Amino acid sequence: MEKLIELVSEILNLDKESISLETSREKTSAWDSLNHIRLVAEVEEQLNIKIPFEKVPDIKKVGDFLDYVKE
Amino acid sequence: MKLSILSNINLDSLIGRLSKLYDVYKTEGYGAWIQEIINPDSGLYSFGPDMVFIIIDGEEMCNGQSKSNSTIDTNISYIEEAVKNNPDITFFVSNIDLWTRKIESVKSGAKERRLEFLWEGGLFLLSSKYRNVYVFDLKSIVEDKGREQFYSKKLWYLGGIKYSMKAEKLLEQQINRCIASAKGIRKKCLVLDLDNTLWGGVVGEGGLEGIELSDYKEGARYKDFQRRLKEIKDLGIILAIASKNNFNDAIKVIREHKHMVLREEDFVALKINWDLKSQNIRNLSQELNIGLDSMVFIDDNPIERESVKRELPEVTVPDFPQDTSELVDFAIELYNDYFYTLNTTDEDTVKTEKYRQNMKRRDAQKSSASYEDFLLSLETKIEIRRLSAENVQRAAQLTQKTNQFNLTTKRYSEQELLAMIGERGFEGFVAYVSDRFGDNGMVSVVITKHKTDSEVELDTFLLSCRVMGRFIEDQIIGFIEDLHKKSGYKKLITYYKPTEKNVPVKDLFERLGYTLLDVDSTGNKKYVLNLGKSSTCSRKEFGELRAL
Repeated sequence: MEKLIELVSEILNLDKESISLETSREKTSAWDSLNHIRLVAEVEEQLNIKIPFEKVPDIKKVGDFLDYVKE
Repeated sequence: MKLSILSNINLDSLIGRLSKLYDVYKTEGYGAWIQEIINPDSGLYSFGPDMVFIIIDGEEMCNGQSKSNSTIDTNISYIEEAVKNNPDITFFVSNIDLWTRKIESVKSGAKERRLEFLWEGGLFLLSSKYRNVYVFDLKSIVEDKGREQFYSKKLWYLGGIKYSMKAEKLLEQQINRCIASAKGIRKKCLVLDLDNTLWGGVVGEGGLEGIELSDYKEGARYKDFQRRLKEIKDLGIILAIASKNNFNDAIKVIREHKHMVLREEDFVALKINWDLKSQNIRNLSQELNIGLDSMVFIDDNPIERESVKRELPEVTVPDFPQDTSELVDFAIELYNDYFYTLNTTDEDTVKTEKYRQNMKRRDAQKSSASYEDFLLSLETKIEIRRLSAENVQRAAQLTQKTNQFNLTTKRYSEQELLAMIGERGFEGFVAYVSDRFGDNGMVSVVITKHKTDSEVELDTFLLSCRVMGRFIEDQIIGFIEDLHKKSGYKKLITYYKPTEKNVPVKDLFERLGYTLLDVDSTGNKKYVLNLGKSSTCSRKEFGELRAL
């Protein structure tokens, strides 16, 4: 989870402290559509998980990534 | 450093990351790389980059083209046009990887291989023909990483981004290496341990027969490692030994073991003794006249590494691989991180020999009655020539790398030097030195700049550290003064610009009899010599001078 927060902060260029599992796309301006794609790709590569193509738009907050990590 | 990344695909996030480190030209969209490089009025050229990286995606270039061959030929000729018309810009052009995943019969053949080869061949010809273009080895990155890792299907379908995040990071690394190498940032000396580093086991215990070093199986780990180290040496990096051993045990292996790749003559110095390694490395640095920050130390023993790190923090001490089957990868990593080389000069291939001769000179010095006797006994010959296209490569290298005896420390690329001497007002000279121990090659670069009809100034004056202390500078500057006096100049203006490393020449011009005109608050000094009257100061002359 720490790693996840780190990735989000790196891609969105935000302080780690300002990011939690509740950080959402809607309320974070840096989390635009391009960064969303980069974030998905980076999380897949770094955490070695797969997020199905169809589910990519459903990720709305940082915590949503955890669904795939657990599996 | 101003650079530009051009591509036929979307590399925005790579460009974004590089923009944090360098001044990077932003293109509008992508795919317009050809217009950018061939139109002299393009945004690219008005930006004025030092380096241009052209990253070509093969599939994008060739796909949908019925005549891929002619597309490749045309694009190569566009690149040639750009390279030829912009000699001040260094171009790096990628080779291509074609992953088409088309479905076709076996018999129809893998056309992709032939296209990759055609492009590669075209680039290779360009890079042999022009100094300012290099092949950017994208294909090797793809091969090392594997296509499944290099490309990202998801990023492609979601955002039109073709390469994975990992791939972009590797490209970024490779770009950084090219930049560092073009700037001449490279370590000079690799200091190696022996036991469990160049061979397996401890020679002091097992003897010549007891160590692991062979063509196959266990011992091949070390033989392969040595082969890669020898390749590093051939790039002009000097190798030295620092090993705690009985000298006789270790030298026997180096001289006699049939699987040793590196032999005595491959090392500039063999510090095989029981002294502290940090002390040996410090001595090496003094004897070779190489800064500690230009040295990399390799040892399998973490305690030795820690001790050197603590005593000599300037020395680079990489971790040794835990798994010795990875020694070859380790050598390649060393090359990539510290010794990455765009091209070698003739000087590089004989560098070890030069340093070995220098060690012999030091020994001769010890046995001479006085230092002056020693200098006379060297039978030094100095030859001064004009700076020209034939010798500009080494001259540029000297301006990039010379730190100690360098009065103004101005760094020039080959292109810059050629442009300067083509201009009215600048004159360039280079000096070669040889003596009875061997040929030192080019050791000095002098550039003068016309100020007024009566005044000329010294833009650059440097001397390689290999021949420092032999008063060669006295004769070179004497020549420069005479030449300009004959051309009618009355005054030679010179400068000393202090850096961290050029303290040895802080008072050079005082010694040479120049008059100090001005010192500013940062220590920049300005001098003048009246060329009218004959020189009155005591200049030394130990060599025979031939000029132009």
